[in-house]
Amino acid sequence: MKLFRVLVFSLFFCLLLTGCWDRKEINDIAFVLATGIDKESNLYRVTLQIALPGQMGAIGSAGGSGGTGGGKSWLLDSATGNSIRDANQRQQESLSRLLYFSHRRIIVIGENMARAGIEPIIEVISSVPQNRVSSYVLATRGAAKNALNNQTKMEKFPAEKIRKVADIWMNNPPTIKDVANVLQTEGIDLTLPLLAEVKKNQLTPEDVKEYINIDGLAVFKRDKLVGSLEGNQARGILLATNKAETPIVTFRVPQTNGRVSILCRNYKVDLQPTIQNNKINLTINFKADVYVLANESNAALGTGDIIQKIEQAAASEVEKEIQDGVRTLQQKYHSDALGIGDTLYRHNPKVWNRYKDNWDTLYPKIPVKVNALIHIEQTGSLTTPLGPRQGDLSK
Amino acid sequence: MLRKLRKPRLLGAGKDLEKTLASTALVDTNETLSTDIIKNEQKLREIFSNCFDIVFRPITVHGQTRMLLVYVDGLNDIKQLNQVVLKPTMFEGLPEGLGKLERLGEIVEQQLVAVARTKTVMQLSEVVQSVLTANVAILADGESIALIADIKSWAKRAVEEPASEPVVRGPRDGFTETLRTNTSMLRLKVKSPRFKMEAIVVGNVSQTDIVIAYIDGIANESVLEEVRQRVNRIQIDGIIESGYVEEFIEDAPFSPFPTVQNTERPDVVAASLLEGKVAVLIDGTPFALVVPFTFWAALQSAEDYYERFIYATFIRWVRFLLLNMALFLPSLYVAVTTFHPQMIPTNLLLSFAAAREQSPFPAMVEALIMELMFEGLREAGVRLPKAVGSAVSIVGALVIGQAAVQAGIVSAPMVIVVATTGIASFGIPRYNFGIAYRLLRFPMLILAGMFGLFGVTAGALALLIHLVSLRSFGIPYLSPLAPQNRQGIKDIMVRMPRWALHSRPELIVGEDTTRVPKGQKPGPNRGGGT
Amino acid sequence: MAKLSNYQLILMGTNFFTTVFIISLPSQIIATSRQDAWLSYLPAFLIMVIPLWMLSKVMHRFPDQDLFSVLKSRFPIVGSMLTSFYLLFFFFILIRDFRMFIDFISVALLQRTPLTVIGGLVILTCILSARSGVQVVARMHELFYPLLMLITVILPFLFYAGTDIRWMQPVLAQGVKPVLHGSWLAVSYIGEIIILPFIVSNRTFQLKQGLISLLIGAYMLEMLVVLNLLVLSPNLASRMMYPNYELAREVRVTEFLDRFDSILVTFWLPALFQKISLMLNVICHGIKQMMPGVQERSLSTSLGILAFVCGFWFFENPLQLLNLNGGWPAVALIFEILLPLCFYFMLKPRFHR
Repeated sequence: MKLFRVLVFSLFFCLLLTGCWDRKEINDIAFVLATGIDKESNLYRVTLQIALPGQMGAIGSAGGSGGTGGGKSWLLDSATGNSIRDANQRQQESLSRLLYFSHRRIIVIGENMARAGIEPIIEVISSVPQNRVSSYVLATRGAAKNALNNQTKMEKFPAEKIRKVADIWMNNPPTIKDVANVLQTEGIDLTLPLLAEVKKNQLTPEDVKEYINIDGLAVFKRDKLVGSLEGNQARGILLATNKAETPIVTFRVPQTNGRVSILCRNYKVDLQPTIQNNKINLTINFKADVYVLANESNAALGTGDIIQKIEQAAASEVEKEIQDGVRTLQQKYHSDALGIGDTLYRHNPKVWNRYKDNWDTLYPKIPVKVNALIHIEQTGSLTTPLGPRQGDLSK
Repeated sequence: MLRKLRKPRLLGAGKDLEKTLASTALVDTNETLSTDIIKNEQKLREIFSNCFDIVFRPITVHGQTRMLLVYVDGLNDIKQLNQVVLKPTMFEGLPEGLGKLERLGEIVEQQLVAVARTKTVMQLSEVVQSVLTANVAILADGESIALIADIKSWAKRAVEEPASEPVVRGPRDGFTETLRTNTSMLRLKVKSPRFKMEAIVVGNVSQTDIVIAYIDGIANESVLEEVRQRVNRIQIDGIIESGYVEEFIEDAPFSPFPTVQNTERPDVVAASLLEGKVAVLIDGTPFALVVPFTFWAALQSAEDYYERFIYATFIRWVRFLLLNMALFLPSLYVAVTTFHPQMIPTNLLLSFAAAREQSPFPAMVEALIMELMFEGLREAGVRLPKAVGSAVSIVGALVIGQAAVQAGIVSAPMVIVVATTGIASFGIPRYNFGIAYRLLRFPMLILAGMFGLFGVTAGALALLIHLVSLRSFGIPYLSPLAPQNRQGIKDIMVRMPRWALHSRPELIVGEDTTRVPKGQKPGPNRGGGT
Repeated sequence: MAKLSNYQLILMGTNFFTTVFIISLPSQIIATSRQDAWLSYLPAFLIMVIPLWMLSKVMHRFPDQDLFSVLKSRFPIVGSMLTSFYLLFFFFILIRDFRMFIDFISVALLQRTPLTVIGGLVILTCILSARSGVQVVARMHELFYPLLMLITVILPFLFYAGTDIRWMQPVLAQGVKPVLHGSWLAVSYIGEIIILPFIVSNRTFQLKQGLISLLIGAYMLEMLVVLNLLVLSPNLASRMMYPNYELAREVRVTEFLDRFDSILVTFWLPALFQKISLMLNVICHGIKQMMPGVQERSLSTSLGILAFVCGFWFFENPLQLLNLNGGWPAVALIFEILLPLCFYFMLKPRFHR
């Protein structure tokens, strides 16, 4: 009984005297929102985007800070080092607040870095428990430090903009966890959304603004960048990997004079490897329930078999996109981004064990067949386009 | 801890109660009245020397027999005294002329003093006692007995709505300071001969009446015996308020949590008695004590049982939430912002950070200061005269709410947190239970400031261990949740409708466990009607 | 000891073998049996039914007693030797769990706080609970454990989008051997359920309570390991120190609420506290059975401090704890299967014909 009381009191006084080890006040930490990693010869260049809450002009804390009028609400700090941690250490030396990575939502990997191989950096990013494993990983054309230094009007921070753009562009953008997972799995290669700076002229030809947007997919072989896919090819791969976010497909329907757009409300992709005469074949089965989003043609949806025609046209469009993307991956980059090898393993581990040693030579030659099945389940509020006269309608 | 403290009290408990009573009254217990009224008067005057409020009224009946009325001025109905004692004796005289002196008392008792309650006493100490408990003592010459007439009447507070436990729906009468009124209110609610009230006098100077009320058969015999013992054991000079008794009979004197319930509401007492609990009523205070008291009883208000059960269930959940907020909100805020900022959504965190940008204090210190200020404001609001009270709240709101935030001394989120905590702590229906929670907030805050969430968990666990091991008159404090009891949970997690609460709380009740017979669920096709 | 209800016993039994299992083992089991880790658990559970059944038969012969007193009353000398062996065994488990607990806290919640300070707070709370008696520990279980069970029921719904069935295919690709190796790792922890007959004294220990405990525990552990596989994939789970903590970090309700880990950890901590308290309590009870003169309350304080010291003395770092798991089953199974087997034959129930 006495012993217990002594214990309680001694612990209590110990604590009072020594203090708190893990305590860090909010105004003593620097919230890192994004990290950009580049490689410069042998050194890593790490660029951090840090939030400046003082510049955000919160009500109540006013006291004459002057609201957002002043500068940006974020700070970019860049340093080089032998490792990422080392570079962070350099940055810390010049920062009055402790770097804190738990709110980092995106990690941008520069082109040089990606080409050199990203294996060493994933380790650093995910080993501290306070870091988010749900941070998105993106690649960029050019240097990552430039991608982060891009003012945006809609969001407070560029990092926030990039994150949201990635969210809209694809379904579940790859996170650190996903990247690590892919790197560790045999028979699958990595793809990352690819950022690029684009110059767009708005109202007048002189009014040119630089934008950061997502330009396509960066294709990796193992952990090294080998190239990129753009436009429809990128979308084809997204469709084939079940990563496209409610994709809109626009295509021309035969015997009509315009284009029809459909929105895939939900779709399912299934990779089916088959083995015939010691040859591997892959069938990609794509199934979607779609919604007719816009009908710019003269097709009267309510009549005849025009619906079937649209479905077929849509299916062949999707097939083409996927086919294109996969062919480029196979023949140009030799990168198994669909995870055909992995799928083979899951279906038939014995076959995979037989082929896995010379998978690299085998992979480009695998014939890929795409079967798309599109089902229009909604046609919107119009059965017939409003523009064309009765006689011009295609039925 | 408990056992050690009890020991010295146990030694004293053996003393004879009556003895102590008499010794403080400065009268020898065994001294009887003398037949000589002059002597009696002398003695009484000696005992009551310097007692300004004691009245000695000598009267002479038929010019021969001298009588003496002794009473405390202000405690008796003077009109009635005149009507039933003075007038008949002085003007009408004794109907049968002078008889033997021994019979005088009887005659007075039987025929003249038209009062409901009278008795005769032989001993001087009893006379003194009776006079002090607001009776009129009538002594006659040559008579060694005194007649005690009960015509009590003094200035009483009327029955009012209880201030500490108001309800929207439900009876509006509250206990008063008069024990007799209180017992009558209870008797009106429970008209059964099984409803017993045992009286004990406690306090060797104050001579306070204490009543132990229970319903025979429903009350748990062991709890009742425990209450009797603990009340009888009390040795004290005086009892002014129920709190005096509470501190002597509670189970865990060092716990911040009350193990005895106090209430101003007769309906609450009556309902508790019907659950098998035991009530202790104390003269001179409108607060009755009810035991055993459990954690859940602290979260229930009388109105839960008067309102419709769905609403009552909802409001119980809200209360439980408020209870936890009152205890944990400031510590969670401190723990999360200073130890685990990763938990807060980025945008929210950045606004916290922006608000705290200029704050000079660490979050924990800020929280402590603000919580203390809040306690100060609350205390000032309760104690100050009403006219000044509003000034305090204005100053508090302006200085703390506005100026401190604007000056950047205190951050706005902290003010929100402290204010929310304050409101939450008032959501607990039992005031003294709320106090316990308000106190525990501070150690919790310190733990949070040192260990973050881990500290809060450890603190909460220690608190729960304490709650779980606490007992009120043998009943586990957290029952019926831990130890679990299915029937009991019907009145804890939810408030089931009356017709579904078939049995009384299992651990509390004695023999008679059925409260509501089964099969009374109302519906269109029930009963003998159409 | 004091009165315990069936419900309390079931919760205590489940808590006793699940809580520490959750942090210390999944990583290693997934590393050995990869995507078949969920299969590894099953044999371990099935095997443990046997000693439970045997112990229940033994206890049936000695109604209203616990195993300590049975041992002592039947074999005065051998019994107290066995009792002390069991006490040492439990004490070692106590130290191991204590150390595992503070290491975990250190990684998950408080990185810079010295281990000794965390350990001090942990052991203090546990002593507080243990010295209030087994009844208090049991009631604490009643308060907390249902909550934890509820979380394992809700958890799959929180992950509805993040799972990928691919990670559990193909089944049994590497054959049965790694699966059984995984079971070998798991069995010693699940075997800790044999503590039940040591706790129960006011009634006879019944097989039914043990089985329900096992069943609930099996559900919880299976659910967690399946989620580990589906959400984290065997690749990552096997490389993490605490896969279940990583799992908690993956919980995302909406964009707004995506860091649930600390909250889930705080819900889970009380269970671990209670396991340590229960163990402390049982050890004190056992010592009291051997030496009736000792005061249980003061004993728990000194034992707690001893455990605190040993926790730092026996293990230098958490990796040692993980390495221990490889050889530990060999020792643990003596106490968890072999000795109950002996008890069964030594104290064999007489069959009436």
